[in-house]
Amino acid sequence: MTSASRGADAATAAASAPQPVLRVRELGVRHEGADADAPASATFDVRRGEVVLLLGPSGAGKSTLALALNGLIPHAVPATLTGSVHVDGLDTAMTPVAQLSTRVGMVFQDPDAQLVTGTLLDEVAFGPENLRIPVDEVLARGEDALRRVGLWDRRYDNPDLLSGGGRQRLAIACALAMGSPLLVLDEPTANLDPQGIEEVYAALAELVTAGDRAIVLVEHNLDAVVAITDRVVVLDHDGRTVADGTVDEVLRARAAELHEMGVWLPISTIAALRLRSAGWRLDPLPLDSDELRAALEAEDAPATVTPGAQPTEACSTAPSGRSYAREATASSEPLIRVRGLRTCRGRREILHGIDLDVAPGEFVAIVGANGAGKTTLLQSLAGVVPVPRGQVTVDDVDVGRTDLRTLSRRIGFVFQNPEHQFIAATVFDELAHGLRQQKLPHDVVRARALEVLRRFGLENKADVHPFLLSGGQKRRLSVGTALVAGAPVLALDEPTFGQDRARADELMHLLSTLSAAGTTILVVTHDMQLVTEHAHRTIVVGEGRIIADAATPEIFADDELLRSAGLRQPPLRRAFAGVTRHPELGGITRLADLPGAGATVVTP
Amino acid sequence: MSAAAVDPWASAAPDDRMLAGLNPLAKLVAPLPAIVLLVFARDLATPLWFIALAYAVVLVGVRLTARTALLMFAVLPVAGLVIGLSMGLWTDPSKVDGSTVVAQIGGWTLSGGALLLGLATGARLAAIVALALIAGLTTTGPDLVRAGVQQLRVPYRVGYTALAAFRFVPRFGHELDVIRQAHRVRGAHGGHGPFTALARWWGYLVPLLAGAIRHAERVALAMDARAFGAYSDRTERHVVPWRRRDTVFVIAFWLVSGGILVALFPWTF
Amino acid sequence: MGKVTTAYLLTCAAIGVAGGIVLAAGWSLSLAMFVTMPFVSVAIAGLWVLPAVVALRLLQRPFAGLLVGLISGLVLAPFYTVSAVATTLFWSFFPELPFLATLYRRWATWLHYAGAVTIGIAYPILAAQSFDLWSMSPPLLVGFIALCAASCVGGTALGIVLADRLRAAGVARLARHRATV
Ligand SMILES: Nc1ncnc2c1ncn2[C@@H]1O[C@H](COP(=O)(O)OP(=O)(O)OP(=O)(O)O)[C@@H](O)[C@H]1O
Ligand SMILES: Nc1ncnc2c1ncn2[C@@H]1O[C@H](COP(=O)(O)OP(=O)(O)OP(=O)(O)O)[C@@H](O)[C@H]1O
Ligand SMILES: [Mg+2]
Ligand SMILES: [Mg+2]
Repeated sequence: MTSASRGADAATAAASAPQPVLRVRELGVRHEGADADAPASATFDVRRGEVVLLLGPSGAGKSTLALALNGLIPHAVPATLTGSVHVDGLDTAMTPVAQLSTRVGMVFQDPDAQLVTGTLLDEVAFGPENLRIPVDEVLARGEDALRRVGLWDRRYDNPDLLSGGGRQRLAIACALAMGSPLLVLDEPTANLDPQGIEEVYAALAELVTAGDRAIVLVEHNLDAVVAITDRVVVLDHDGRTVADGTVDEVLRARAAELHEMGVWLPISTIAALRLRSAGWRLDPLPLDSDELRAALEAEDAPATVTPGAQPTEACSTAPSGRSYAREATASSEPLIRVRGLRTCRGRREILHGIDLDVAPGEFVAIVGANGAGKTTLLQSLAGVVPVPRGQVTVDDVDVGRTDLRTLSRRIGFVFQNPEHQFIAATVFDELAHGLRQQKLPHDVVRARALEVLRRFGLENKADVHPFLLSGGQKRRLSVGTALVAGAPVLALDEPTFGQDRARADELMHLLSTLSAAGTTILVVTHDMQLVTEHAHRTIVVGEGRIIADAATPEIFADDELLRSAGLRQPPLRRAFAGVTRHPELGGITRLADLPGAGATVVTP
Repeated sequence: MSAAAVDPWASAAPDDRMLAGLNPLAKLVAPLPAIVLLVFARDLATPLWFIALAYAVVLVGVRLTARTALLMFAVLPVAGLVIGLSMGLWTDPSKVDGSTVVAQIGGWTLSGGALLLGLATGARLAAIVALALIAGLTTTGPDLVRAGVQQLRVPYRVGYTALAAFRFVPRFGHELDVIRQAHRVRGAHGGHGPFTALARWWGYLVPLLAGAIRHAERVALAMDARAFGAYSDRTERHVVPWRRRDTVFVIAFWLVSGGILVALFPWTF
Repeated sequence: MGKVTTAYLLTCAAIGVAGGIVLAAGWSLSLAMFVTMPFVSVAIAGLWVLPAVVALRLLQRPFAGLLVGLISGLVLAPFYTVSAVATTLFWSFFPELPFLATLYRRWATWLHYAGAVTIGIAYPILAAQSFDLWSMSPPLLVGFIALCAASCVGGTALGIVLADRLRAAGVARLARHRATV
């Protein structure tokens, strides 16, 4: 079923259903202590059976809006609300959250933060029990909800035993068990591996085909959701509704405008926009890999394109993986050398014999399923977890023997949650800490710290408490603290976690620049497109072992390997792999390699 | 023993023995008077009798595992003995019967009276722990909370808060590990000695608490979104009844406790 | 329980659990001390009032201290048996006491210290009863009481600093918010 026909279905449904499930009018929310409304003025409706995708740049107030939809704002969260939200005709400002909970089900970003009880069945029963529903019906609802997300067979398990994707499906089941006609999901797949994401969207697609639930989705990863979306609502920077319509009307017709605004689009759409600027027609604009491939197959290449010339020009900052890897291994001594590494946490051995060499200046991505041991591997290299002697050397220093202070000058480590590593009370002191440790003179410390602040766009935040920064700013600060001391190696654990794609992109470009200047970069991430865009080399980890270690393009050429490791092809590769009519496009995997990559649509 | 090893949600191992079938409150209430009165006892015999009573109940009512056996027959006796000896060392010699001398080093003597007093204290503390084992060995967190809600009319929101807290334990323990690693990597508070160690721990507290509270707030929103606290009660799928055998157990235990206390009358007024 | 929000309850639970994790370390330390030199173990008595002080200072809501005490006791119960609950409740009651006495109308800083001094003196006397310390020599006993009082005041001061830092970091806004419906 295509998005277009789904839109038409929804339109006919809308005509027959008089009252929308959700009616948001000029909604403005101001958090206590904030100086502006975010969102400032959101207006839209959701009707029964509809899937509405809510887009907007980071800080537009999407999460805040989601909290207002079931009355958590203003009842539970200190914030003032202007405008109105009506659910099934009830004004959320006047109706208790408990009453609204039977009409709006919520699924949040962090699956762990939604678990209350000890078994899956107790968990789905938790909501209905709060509503004093009789035991028989609680069980019936629980069974129905668990079956819908495919977890019924595991009903007596502890939710902690589920994978990230499984727990998020459980959260969806819990929302379903409340019996609400409207489901609101705020970035439900942000920390899942590609397989987990696939599972969650498969479960949602099931619901959509049943047609009895309306869904409001906030999601940065558009490639996964366009297939099930009927309508798209877009908020601008201030949180005003600037677009509200079917997928065709908004995503296809106004893609360039949205892209300009910093709203992310499906990777295939971004690619198509670039191709258009290189002279391709591509009309209608494709929204996923299949559509892009089909559109390319249906069209002749524009005359202006000189195949083969542009790609090499476009990616001058990051040499293509294959050639780079060869060059690197041939020319220099490894900077990081790992031999037979076995790392234990507690009494459990997590890594079972890892061999690895990293040359200076390499940009290495470490990928794998949730729980594969990526974090443990990265932490072993940096000496964050104790490693046996003689198994890891960085810059000729044995990590198992050296104290961390000496080591921290050689390798800068960025933890998954930046808040964990902040040790000072202001942003400036946070940056100055590493420099002061090197006993540098006062004015040098100041100059260098300010330089980093400027580079990361934090100069007006110098005196702010690090915890009060926004998520994106915290992440940039943590990267800043890792590199201010001038370490030749930078190790980052999921640097794009919880970030929108624009910020993720900004950060990765920074890392690429550092890499080009000679810094060795190691990154753990779940974002396969990002890996293809930036990493020279990719290491696939599975169950504590290295399953594959090669130049990035080679890894992604092996579909079987990816699937067995719980990974998936990045969308661009999926689109171009099957293109037969234009062989010059066949091998393209990175946006930067597209013809027209230098044109206006490139993100700043 | 790590905090992560305790799963408050684990349903008790299938145990057909007596104690597992009792209401958790019965197991708590039965030894309570004895525990309270023991605090004021001063002799050695009373705590020893109660240790015997507690061990008898546990051995009859619980299927013994290696872990509980270790706890009961090694850890507890040794701990009681060590505490007893050291208490004996610090007792003011002028306040006890100094007629028998157990040990003498220079001008300092350990009298039999002091040793006896110390051992009494050690045994008293061991007895309190032993009595607490009656409830501790066979009660799961959720059952205790359910009993509290169903019999004691504890507001269920407080009960569920306690259960949510058990869920936080491994998470925060893990979070503390990560914070410690992160601070070590940043090279914060390097060096040795008790004061740098204190400074180090102090530095962990703000991030640990901030992270903990943020997580708690998210969980709270998720619970609110599922109608937590909508009414003053909620559907109970698991009933933890108070049966006749619970009453019998409590009264029998009280009678035996009373018997021991009356027979030995360990108080001096 | 009309006005009590879930965020308040769970925030107290979080502080209680974090406190319990810290206390678990403190407890083994104090047990080790107790075994060797019983009266020195009160030098870290201040640790026991810390969670309740943090909660009261940060949230400024009734019963926050007691609830935190209850939770940290429950968390410690698997290791130190049910008596842990009694212990932590006992230690949390005193930081709460001055605010209870003023019916939660005032949240002045000195009230925290008043609670600290009360327990700093009350505990050694009660402890002397249960551990039979009356048999110790008088100077030792005085030192015992002074040490305990100083430790409690110190613990309270640390708790206040900690809570103020957390507030500066923008933490626990939800828990301070009063329910509207
Ligand atoms: N508890 C809070 N207190 C004060 N300000 C807040 C709070 N939560 C969010 N804000 C602010 O409100 C604005 C909107 O935040 P919100 O999280 O809703 O954005 P968003 O659109 O979901 O962004 P993202 O895509 O990054 O998740 C931001 O400027 C943010 O800093
Ligand atoms: N502190 C710890 N103690 C014990 N086991 C741990 C600890 N940290 C992680 N593990 C276990 O080690 C294994 C690997 O964990 P790791 O965090 O390295 O995985 P990962 O690949 O980074 O996963 P994710 O994608 O979810 O971040 C997992 O099974 C995890 O449960
Ligand atoms: Mg958001
Ligand atoms: Mg990880």
